[in-house]
Amino acid sequence: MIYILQVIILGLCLGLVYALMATGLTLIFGVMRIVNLAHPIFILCGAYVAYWLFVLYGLDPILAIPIAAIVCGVLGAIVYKLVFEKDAGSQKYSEMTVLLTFGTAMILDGTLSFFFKNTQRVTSPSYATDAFFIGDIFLPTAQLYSGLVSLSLIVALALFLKFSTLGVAIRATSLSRVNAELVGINVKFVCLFSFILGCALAGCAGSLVSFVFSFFPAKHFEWIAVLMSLVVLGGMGSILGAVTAAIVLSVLASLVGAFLAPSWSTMVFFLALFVILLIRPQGMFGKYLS
Amino acid sequence: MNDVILKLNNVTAGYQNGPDILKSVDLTLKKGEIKCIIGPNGAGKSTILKAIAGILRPRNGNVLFNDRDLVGLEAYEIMRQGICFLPQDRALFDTLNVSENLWMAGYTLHDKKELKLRIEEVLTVFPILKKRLSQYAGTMSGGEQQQLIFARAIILKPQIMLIDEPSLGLAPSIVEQAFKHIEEIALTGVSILLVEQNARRGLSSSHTGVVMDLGQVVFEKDAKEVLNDERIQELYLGKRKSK
Repeated sequence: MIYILQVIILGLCLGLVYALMATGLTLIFGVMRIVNLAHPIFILCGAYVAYWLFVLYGLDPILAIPIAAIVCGVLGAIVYKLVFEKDAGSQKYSEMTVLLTFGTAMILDGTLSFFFKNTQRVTSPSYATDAFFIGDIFLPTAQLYSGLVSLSLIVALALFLKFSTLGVAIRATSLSRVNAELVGINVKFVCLFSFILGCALAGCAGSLVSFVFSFFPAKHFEWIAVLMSLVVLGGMGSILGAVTAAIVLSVLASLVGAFLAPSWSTMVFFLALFVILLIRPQGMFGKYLS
Repeated sequence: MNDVILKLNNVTAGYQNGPDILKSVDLTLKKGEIKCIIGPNGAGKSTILKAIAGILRPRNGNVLFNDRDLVGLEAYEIMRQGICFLPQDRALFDTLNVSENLWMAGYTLHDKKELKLRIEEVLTVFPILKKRLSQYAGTMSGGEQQQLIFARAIILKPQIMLIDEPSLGLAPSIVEQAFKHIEEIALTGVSILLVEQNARRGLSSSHTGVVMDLGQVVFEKDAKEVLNDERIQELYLGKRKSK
């Protein structure tokens, strides 16, 4: 029984990190209909920022979050202005963005490999190998901290979207670009802002990921598969959906890993993707896209 | 005449690469006037409204609002000038609640205290909405949605409202209510340009009637004259010759 609880808690912490990784992706899709295959590469950029700040200046990766967010946000703004803005609103935009974002991911992947080589890296702050014990339950500090920080960032995002004028405008724009323009919302600005916000969230997730997983430039291929499955399962564009999917699947994956075999655990994400596409293609919280 | 606030000169417009839907249209709108555009399907009635609102960029001609040309501005910029467009499909944010919809209607208002006051004010005009504040706009009845649309439109105190088919999909009693609201709004000095499939109903609430066909204005007259004109009755209002 304790063992099951143990596995669930570990899955939960990891799930919250996955949730943070997926929120930016689903936000960008929801507002702009961009299928951002470059999202995980932004996460990696955030991870490298945190890694080098730690190695060079000894800055704790959790404290490096704002810096990683700013770096990725600026990078996002540049990429958006260069690649995505001019075609926004064209009819096959989503389809176009699949190729555009894939190309962006390849370019950034190549750039990262050029500078940082294909070495596995992991940030190792003092708490990375520590653990708490609550009764017999074992809580690795790194996982616990990353889970809690992810949770607070997701809550902050949710509050922003619910209660700030710009947040409601972002939701309004994701419902309908035209209607948003009609009430006087500057849709171009909202799109740019959402893209930057999504990339900044990727940067935050990157800082946390840097001490939870080991990473190297081509790692993003592995992540995009998992993240897309979360986003599709939750319903494209639904943040609540992506977060729920991340937590549920991650807990399931760690249960499968513990009771079947660790190599089966990744399968959970893809099996869930198959099942949801068969029985409810719009996802748990999604609506059919017209 | 200096009470003309909107003037279309020679406006030509069409969709994407398609043919011209509007062909050199001239039209004026006076302060406080309700003007109803009628005509058969495909005459370009809705297109006029879209061209003014900036959803569709005119290919030629100009749209003067208080002597300032609107052609080339983005839809949200035109809206910020004081022209409010109410499209056929309602344009509510279905999964935002009523209070968020009203909040977004005042997006361009930087003084948030003022916005709060105006929302209070609007809620006294449409008391039903007060009970629905936390309900999703998409789950309300057609009549309630219609009220929310008017509520949203008057929050910014626009000078011009462009209304496309206010009666579409509404029960007859709700249609009456909608036109009552339109008349009341016009009494506060707002000019209203209306497109209505139910031409008889639209004209009877209007001051002037414009008949359009094939992308051009056929003629413009006092609304009552249009209603009583034999030829128009035959062509557009569905009266049989034998009667």
